[in-house]
Amino acid sequence: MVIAFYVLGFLAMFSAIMVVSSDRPIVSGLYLLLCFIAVAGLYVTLSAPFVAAMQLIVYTGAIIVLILFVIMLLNQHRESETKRPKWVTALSTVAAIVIGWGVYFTFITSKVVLSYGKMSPIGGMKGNVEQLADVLFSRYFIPFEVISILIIAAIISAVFISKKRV
Amino acid sequence: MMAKLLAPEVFMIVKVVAVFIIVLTMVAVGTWVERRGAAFIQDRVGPNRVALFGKFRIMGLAQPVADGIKFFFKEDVIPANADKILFVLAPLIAFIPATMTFAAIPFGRSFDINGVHYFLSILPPATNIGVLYVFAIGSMGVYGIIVGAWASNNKWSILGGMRASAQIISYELAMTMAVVGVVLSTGSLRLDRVISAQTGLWNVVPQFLGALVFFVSMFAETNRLPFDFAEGESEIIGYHVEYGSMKFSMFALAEYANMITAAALFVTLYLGGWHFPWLDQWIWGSILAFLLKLVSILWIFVWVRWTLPRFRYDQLMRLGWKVMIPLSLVNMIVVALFLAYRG
Repeated sequence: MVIAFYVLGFLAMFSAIMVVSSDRPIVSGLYLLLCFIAVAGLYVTLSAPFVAAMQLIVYTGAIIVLILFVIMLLNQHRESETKRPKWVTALSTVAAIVIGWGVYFTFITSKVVLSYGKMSPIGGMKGNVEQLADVLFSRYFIPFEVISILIIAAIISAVFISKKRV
Repeated sequence: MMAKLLAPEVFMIVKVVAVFIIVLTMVAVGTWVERRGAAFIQDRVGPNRVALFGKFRIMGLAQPVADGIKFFFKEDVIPANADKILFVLAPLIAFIPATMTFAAIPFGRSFDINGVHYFLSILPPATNIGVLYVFAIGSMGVYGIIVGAWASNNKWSILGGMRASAQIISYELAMTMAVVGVVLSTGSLRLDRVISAQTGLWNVVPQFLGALVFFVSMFAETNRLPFDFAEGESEIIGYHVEYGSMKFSMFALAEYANMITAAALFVTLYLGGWHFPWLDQWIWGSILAFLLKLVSILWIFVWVRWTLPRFRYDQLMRLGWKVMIPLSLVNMIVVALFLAYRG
C-alpha cells in the first residue's frame, strides 16, 4: 500500500507538472488524464472504490474527452510563443507561491486536519455507497440540492450564451 | 487434482487465465463468424479455403490463425508526420481497458466446498462497485481512438476520432441512465446481487424500455454498425487509417473484446446472467447458460451489422439526445415510482 501510494503520488505530481509545462495542448490534455487516473488509484488505496469509480467515470470518462474534443476542433498543434515581459512572469511566480502557501497554511490549521484523530473511514471497502448516500441525503441535503440548482442555472446560461441570436 | 485446483490462489490464477484465453479465443472466432455470417446473409460462400496442415478445411475456421500470422509478419509502418510515441501507445490504450472490463462480470453460479465460498468472476463481488467498475474502465476505451486519431496526423483519422468522442459521450449518458433502473430495482451495485434479483423474472420484462435503450447504446459504444462513425469504412475509413500490421490488429481485437464485454453486461443486467430454467442447477450448466446467451447476443451484433445501413451523423446525435436519453429517464422514473408505491 505504501509503495502504491508513492508510485501513484509521484505519477500524479509528475503529470500535473507536465500538464502546465508541455507546449502541445493535446499532450497536456493526456497528462491531465494520467493525473486523474493516478488520483483515482489513490482513492482505491484509501479503500474508497466508489469515489475512485466516480472519479474515473466523471472526470476521465467525460470531462477530458470534452477537453480533447475542443482541442481537436481548434486543431492547434503547438502553442505559439507569446512575448511576455519578464516582470509579468516574476510577478505571477511570486503570486502563485503566495497563494499556494496560503491554501496550504489554511488547510494545515483547519478543523479538518486538527480533528484527524476523530475521523473514521466511510465503511471501508464495503458499504461505501450506502454511507455516502446516508450523509448526502440527511446531513448535507440542502447544500446538495442547492448545488444541483446552481448547475442547472449554469447549463441554461451556457445554452443561452452559445445560442445564435436571430 | 481437484483439491489442488481449489486452493484460493490457484483458483484465482486458473480463473484469470481461463477468462483471458476464452475471451481472446472468442475474439478470434468472432472475426471468423463475422465474415462467414456476412457471406451467409449476402448469399455468398465467404472465407472457407484456409485449411489446417493443408488438409482439414473445417469451414475455414483456421482463417483467424492465418490472419494473425499475416498481421505479425507485415511491415510495421509509422508515418513520417505522425507523433511517434502516441502513435505506438494508442493501440495499447485501446486494448488494455477492453481486456480489463470483463473482470467484474460473474459468468457462473458461486458455490461452497468444505465451507469455502468460491465465486465465478475475477473481481470479488464484495467490492460493491460492480457495475461502476465496468463503466469506469470501459470509458477509458475511447482514448485509444482519440489518441490514435490525433497521433496519425491525418485529416480523415481526426474526423473519425472527433466523431467517436462526441458519439461515445452522448450514448454513455443514456446507457448509464438505463442501468440506474436496474440498480434501483436491485438495491445494490453488485453484479451478483443483480443476477440473484432476477431469479424467476429477467429484468428485460419489467424494464423493457431500459433494456432497449441499453441495447441500442451498446452498438454506439462499441462503434458497430449502424453507428460505426469512427470507422465508416465507405466514407472516411476512420481513426486507424494510418495503422497497419499488429497495431491495426490491436484496434480490431479491442473492438471485438469491447463487443464481448458489452454483450456480457447486457446478459448480466437484463437477461438474468447465468440463470436458465433447469440448466442452472449445476455449476457447469450455469456457465453454459451464460455462454449461450452471450453467443446469441454476439450473433445479433453480426446480424444487425449486415442488415441495417449506417445512420447519418446528425441522425445519430438526434437519436441519442432526443430519443434515448428521455426514454432512459422515463424508464428510471417508472421504476422509481413503482418501487416507491410498492414500498
